[in-house]
Amino acid sequence: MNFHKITGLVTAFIVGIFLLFPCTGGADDVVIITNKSVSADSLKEEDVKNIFIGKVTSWNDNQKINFATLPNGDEIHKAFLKKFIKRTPEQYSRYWKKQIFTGKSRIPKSFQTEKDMLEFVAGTKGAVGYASTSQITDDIKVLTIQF
Amino acid sequence: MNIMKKLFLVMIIVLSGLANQVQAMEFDDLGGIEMHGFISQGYLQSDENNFFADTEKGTTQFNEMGINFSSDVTEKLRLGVQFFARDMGTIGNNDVVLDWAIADYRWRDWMGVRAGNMKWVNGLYNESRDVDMLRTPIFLPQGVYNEAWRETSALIQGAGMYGEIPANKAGSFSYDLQYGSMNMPVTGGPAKLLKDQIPGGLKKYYHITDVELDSVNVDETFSDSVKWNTPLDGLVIGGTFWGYDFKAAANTYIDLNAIRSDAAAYQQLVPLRGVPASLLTPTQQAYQAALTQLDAAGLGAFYTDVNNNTTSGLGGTVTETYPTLFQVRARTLTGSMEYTWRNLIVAAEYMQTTYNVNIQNTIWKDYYRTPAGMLNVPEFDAVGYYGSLSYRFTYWFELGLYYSEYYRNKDDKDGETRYVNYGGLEPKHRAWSKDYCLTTRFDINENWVLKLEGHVMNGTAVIYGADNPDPIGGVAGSQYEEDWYLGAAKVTYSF
Repeated sequence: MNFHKITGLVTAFIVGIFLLFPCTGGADDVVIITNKSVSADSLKEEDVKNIFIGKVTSWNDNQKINFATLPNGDEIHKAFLKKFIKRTPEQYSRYWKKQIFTGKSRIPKSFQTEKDMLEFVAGTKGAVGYASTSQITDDIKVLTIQF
Repeated sequence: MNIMKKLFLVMIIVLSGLANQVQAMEFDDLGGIEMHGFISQGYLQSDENNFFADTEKGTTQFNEMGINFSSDVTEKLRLGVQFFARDMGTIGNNDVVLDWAIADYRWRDWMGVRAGNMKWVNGLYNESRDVDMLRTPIFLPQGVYNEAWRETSALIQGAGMYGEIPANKAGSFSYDLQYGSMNMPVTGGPAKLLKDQIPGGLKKYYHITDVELDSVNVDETFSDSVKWNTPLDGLVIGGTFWGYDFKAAANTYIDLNAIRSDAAAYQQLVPLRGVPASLLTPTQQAYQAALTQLDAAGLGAFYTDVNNNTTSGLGGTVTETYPTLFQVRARTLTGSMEYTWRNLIVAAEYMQTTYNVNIQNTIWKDYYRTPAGMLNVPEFDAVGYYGSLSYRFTYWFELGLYYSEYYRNKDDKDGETRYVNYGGLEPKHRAWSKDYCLTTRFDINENWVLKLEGHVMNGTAVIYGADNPDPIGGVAGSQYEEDWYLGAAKVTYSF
């Protein structure tokens, strides 16, 4: 197989991907929520990503970050990953499996429903999660995100 | 399968069932101990050449399994351990070993320390190469992730530092520094590789029938890795500098009678030296040419010593065992790039390893004319690189392809020099390996993954001589085929 054949194969592969499987949009009305003990009122987009991939583990006041997620099939989870982490649910799941099977981290706390997530964030010091805007209650704090 | 292997397999199956029940509950109910595991079973088939197992016939000796436990002792201290077993032909044999076992103290996000058995950091994927469901292909590109060294480059036993350093608009930098030792089983891949390091000429003229590794002593191992998470979201650029020094003791089996027979034959040729060709028959001229070649190779003096019984070690009668010491120093640079954009992942890596190899055996000091029979293999660089693409079409289907090249010696890519040095015993294509891979991954659900992939291979540098020992019709090197195909299938369950 010569160079031109390889180039042709790769080109066909990439073009085929975008012709056959165009990317679809997702919901954007997802916000970052925290427990009221968290002193921060805003975060940079990059900070959100680093928290949810486990690279940042404490708030500026040294309080431990307790972050939580929703399951892969959840629409809010998909919207959160697309908006803040820039990864698909499968990529995010594989990232965390790599962490736990190489001894680098434990698996993130995960809840089956948004309601459970909200209860966890409201009742746990240093907790951070995400929710749709329609689910926001007074016992949690919504952070401003700087994009 | 012995009792320990059976117990390990049963334990994983039972705990995987238990884990599915436990996932419905809080892990904190287990005292904060988290448990995960995986079990993979594969099948390999090649049309030519044995790829680390008896693949020409087709083999199911291709599996991995592991189970790990971890717990946060305090907010900053975490303990964890994983037990692991694998089989690939004669490697692993499903013996249960302690895999990673670490104490991890994360003082700050920019600095933490780990101690114990740590996964060896190299490039993008070395840490996770034992766990099939963490990647798209079954086999990582052999140009950088050579299967021959997998068991040796999996773990570093020692201590390390790691952290994440933010760099504002420049993105951030992740670093991992590791130092310690490593485990190198005498029955594993490196043992087979060391056999291939003895020049074929030496094997031929010394009639070396076998080399058995007896013990390995690793002096030091290290890995220093930096990854730059660039401002372009999804683009990671990295570099790793790693290396190791070790000594390996082996027993070399030499057929003394065959050497003496060669020496006696040489003695018969000696009277032809210097005789004008016009006075010789065509047959005698051919013998004279052979004599000239043997003298040029330094064998003339050696055979004379043998005939005069003045060699240092040829005192035995038939096949004798002689100790051989290998000293190996390797230093490697790996450059990596990975770009993730939506469902598309593009990756490329380049790796170059500089080897210094010394092989000592008193028996051949007369041949090499060096004190203590030390053979200093000239320093050489092995290089490998690849480019890969993968795309996830749906939540359950992913397609990938890559092209990979590997060269044992970057200054001898066509294998011409190696062919001469090995006395013509091995074909030139043992110097390189080129691999076109097309792979598919099916995520049946969160726990089950099925993969199918095919490789179009050219060259035989990444296969062991020990797995391909029998020349066809007794013609040296004929057991290797330059162009060949390899197919692989694998199913994995994880929890």
